[in-house]
Amino acid sequence: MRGGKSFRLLILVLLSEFLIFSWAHAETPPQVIRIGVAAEGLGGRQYSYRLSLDVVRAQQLLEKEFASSGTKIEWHYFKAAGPAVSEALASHQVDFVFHGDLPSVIVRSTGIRTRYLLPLYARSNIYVAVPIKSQIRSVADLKGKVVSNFRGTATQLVAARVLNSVGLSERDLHLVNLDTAGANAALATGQVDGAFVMFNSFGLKDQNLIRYVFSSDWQPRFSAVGGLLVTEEFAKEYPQSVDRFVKAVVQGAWFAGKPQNRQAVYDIWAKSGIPEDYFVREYKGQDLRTVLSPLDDDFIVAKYRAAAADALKFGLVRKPVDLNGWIDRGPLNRALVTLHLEHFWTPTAADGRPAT
Amino acid sequence: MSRVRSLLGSGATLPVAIVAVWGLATHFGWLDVRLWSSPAAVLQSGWTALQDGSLIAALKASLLRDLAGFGIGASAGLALGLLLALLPLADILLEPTLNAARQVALFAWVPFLSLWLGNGEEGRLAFIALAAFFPVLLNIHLGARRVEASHLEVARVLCLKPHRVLLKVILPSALPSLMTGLRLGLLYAWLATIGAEYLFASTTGIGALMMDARELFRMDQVILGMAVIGAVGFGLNVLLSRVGHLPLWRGLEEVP
Amino acid sequence: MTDLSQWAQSGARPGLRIRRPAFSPAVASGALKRLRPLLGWIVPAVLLLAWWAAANSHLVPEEILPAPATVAQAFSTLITSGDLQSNLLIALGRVAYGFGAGALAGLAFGAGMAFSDGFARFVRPTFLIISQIPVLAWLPFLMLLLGIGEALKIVLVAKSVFVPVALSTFAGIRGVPVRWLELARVLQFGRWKTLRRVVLPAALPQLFNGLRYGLTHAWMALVVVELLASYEGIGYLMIYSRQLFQLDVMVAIMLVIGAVGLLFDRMLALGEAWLTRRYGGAS
Repeated sequence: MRGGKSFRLLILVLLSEFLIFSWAHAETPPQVIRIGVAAEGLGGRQYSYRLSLDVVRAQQLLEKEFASSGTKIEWHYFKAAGPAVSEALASHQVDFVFHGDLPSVIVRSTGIRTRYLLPLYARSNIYVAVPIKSQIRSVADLKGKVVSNFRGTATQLVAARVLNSVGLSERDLHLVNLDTAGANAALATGQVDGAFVMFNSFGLKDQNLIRYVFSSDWQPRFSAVGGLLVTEEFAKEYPQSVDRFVKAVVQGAWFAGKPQNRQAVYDIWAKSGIPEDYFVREYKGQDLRTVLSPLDDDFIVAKYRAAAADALKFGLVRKPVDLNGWIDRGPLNRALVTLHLEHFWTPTAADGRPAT
Repeated sequence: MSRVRSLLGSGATLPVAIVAVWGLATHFGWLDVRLWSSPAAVLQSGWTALQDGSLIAALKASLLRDLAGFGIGASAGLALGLLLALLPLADILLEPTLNAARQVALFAWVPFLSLWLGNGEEGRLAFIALAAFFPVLLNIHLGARRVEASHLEVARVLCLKPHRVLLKVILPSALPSLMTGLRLGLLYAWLATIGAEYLFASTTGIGALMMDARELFRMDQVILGMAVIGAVGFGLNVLLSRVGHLPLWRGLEEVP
Repeated sequence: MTDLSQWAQSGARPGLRIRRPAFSPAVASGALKRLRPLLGWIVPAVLLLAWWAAANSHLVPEEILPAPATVAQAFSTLITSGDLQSNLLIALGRVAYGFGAGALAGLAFGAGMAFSDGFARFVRPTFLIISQIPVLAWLPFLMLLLGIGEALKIVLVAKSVFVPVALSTFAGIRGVPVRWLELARVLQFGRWKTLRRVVLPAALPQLFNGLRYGLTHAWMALVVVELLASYEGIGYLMIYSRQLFQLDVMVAIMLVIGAVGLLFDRMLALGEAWLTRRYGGAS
């Protein structure tokens, strides 16, 4: 009865496939997915910049991905950046967030349970700006001065590292908590002696209102990173949706990483109100494939470990933060396989150089 | 000559003079027009904002928020105040705590509200309600307590049910205090509305308009925002003083 | 006009039992009256217990409401590091300067408006404009002018004190009963004597009320300004802890803010009582 045996085998295979198929599709997708973004455009514009997520938004990749399941996508932008997103997490108002490294680590040290999925930007640059008439010539001159610092954000951590590199600590300065807009305004009018800013201050420089005394020049050790996180409860209840979400983000990062799309990415980022020319100047010589790499490679792991360690060192968290089990590579790896992008990005080693 | 003197001595002189000096100073460059704006620029931006509807939209958003929050806070204050007046035991137990809670500067609540309720509309409304709550509570409480003992005697003799006592005796007597409380509550609520728009990251409303203007270095819009905020506050004050038949001066001291 | 209904209308609490309320249960029972201050502590004690229980049972997560123990810990850290004392001192100093400046200006202004009709007419619209624009609306503009230093805080605190004091002074002086002034004229009091013996005592309750309001507003204004534009002070400590998600510190600072506000209120209530006992006020 050879035919019968193989027939029974066939039935068994088909049955098990059917069972697996139905189990895999057992999840009812959520009605709405709420995304919290720790950034905002100029003048309240509901767009961010510097992220691969922006491409996802502009090209409606998430909306398209979830159209079939009727899930609504809600985008929430927070002018008050990282800390405001942390509050949103605490009050269960968001499911997925974009969060800088410092606020993510701080949230991890509280009882709020999140999973880290992938980075949305892996390199950043910082400047120290002073009013044009200032006598300050270097970071060391900031000692004892009134300096603007957006507390609780990734920028604060980078600032602390920069200060540390010249032997200063936050306590040596008078730090005012001002957001990006406040910092720019305060600099332009000479209300503060200095500020840690990003390239969105180029306009002030062009108008000769400020001067840069330091630029981190994209050095990996002074770079912040920011990533996509999901709440533990959402991930438990909708694992498939997490996979689909990550897939869409990887698609966006892939688009952004292709050299021929560089200008298109700048145009997308310009929706935030930041002039497109600023992006050209800032990202000159930088490969967007590296900057916007979504890989959870050794570099990213090292970056977050460093964030946790530095946060403790500089007194920004009060007890050591345990990052074990926080990074969930599953959705990313599955997305890379599905999209056949396993080799598009080169993993970076912990020191910032491409892994061999 | 005396006509000139009386004209100069009138209330309009000082504001006009200030505006004139401001205009001249920016015109001649004594003041940096980028930082100080000018009367003309402010008027211009006001006109533009009116025409493109952004001012009306912002006003509508702020006022709706204000009234909604005020409604919640004032009703809660009224209810609790009457409760305290009717139940002396509740009064003894709760009054010291409420008094202490009143002392916490309003803005100290912001971080907690944004934590518990998020940075959205719920948080803002809660903040505004909180601002209106205490003035209303305080004044209705005082007003209800001041009810004439003789009136209450009559009520007791007539064996009136509590809710009738409330309606027929306490409320009418307490009405002036209630009006004062409502007016104060409304003024505080307006202040809290602006504060909420600053501190709870709002995208709509006058406060948000001002914050965005500051980001974009539009000092003319910032000054316009100030003027609008002041005008609305004044308008609310006038409205309620007319309704409550109270002199306009009383209550102006409450704008912090 | 300076009767107690005015006090009630302006929202001031009569404070130390200066006047017995029209109906009160405590009047009936003397024992209950003695117990009353103690009874007031019941609710706070219950709340504290509930807080401790909620935190202990993990009903409310730590990131929403820190346990009392953690808050106490945060308190002790703040005190041992000296952060609380130094920042509190700075904040109080600002209030002192601002209150002093604003109260003096308000007294002078209010008196000027009360004694001179011409002056009142001249300044009224300007005063209205300044008073109707709240401190928060002034902040961006004044930040530009004065920077982020002491001047900004003191000016804004002074503004918040100036308005209620000026208005109360005006109302108080204008509210002196005409009969009294007539009496003073009959008794041939000189101008100075009339001021000292008649006007001042009559206006005092209203004046004090204004000062009380002023102090409350001063504290509120200071907290706001320090939240938004400062590198030291109590509001600064609050924003520092908020940005770094240190809830226990936040609760601790909030309690401090409440305690200081309560202290101010009590201080002025005592002062008011003492002054009324000495000068009697209008009857």
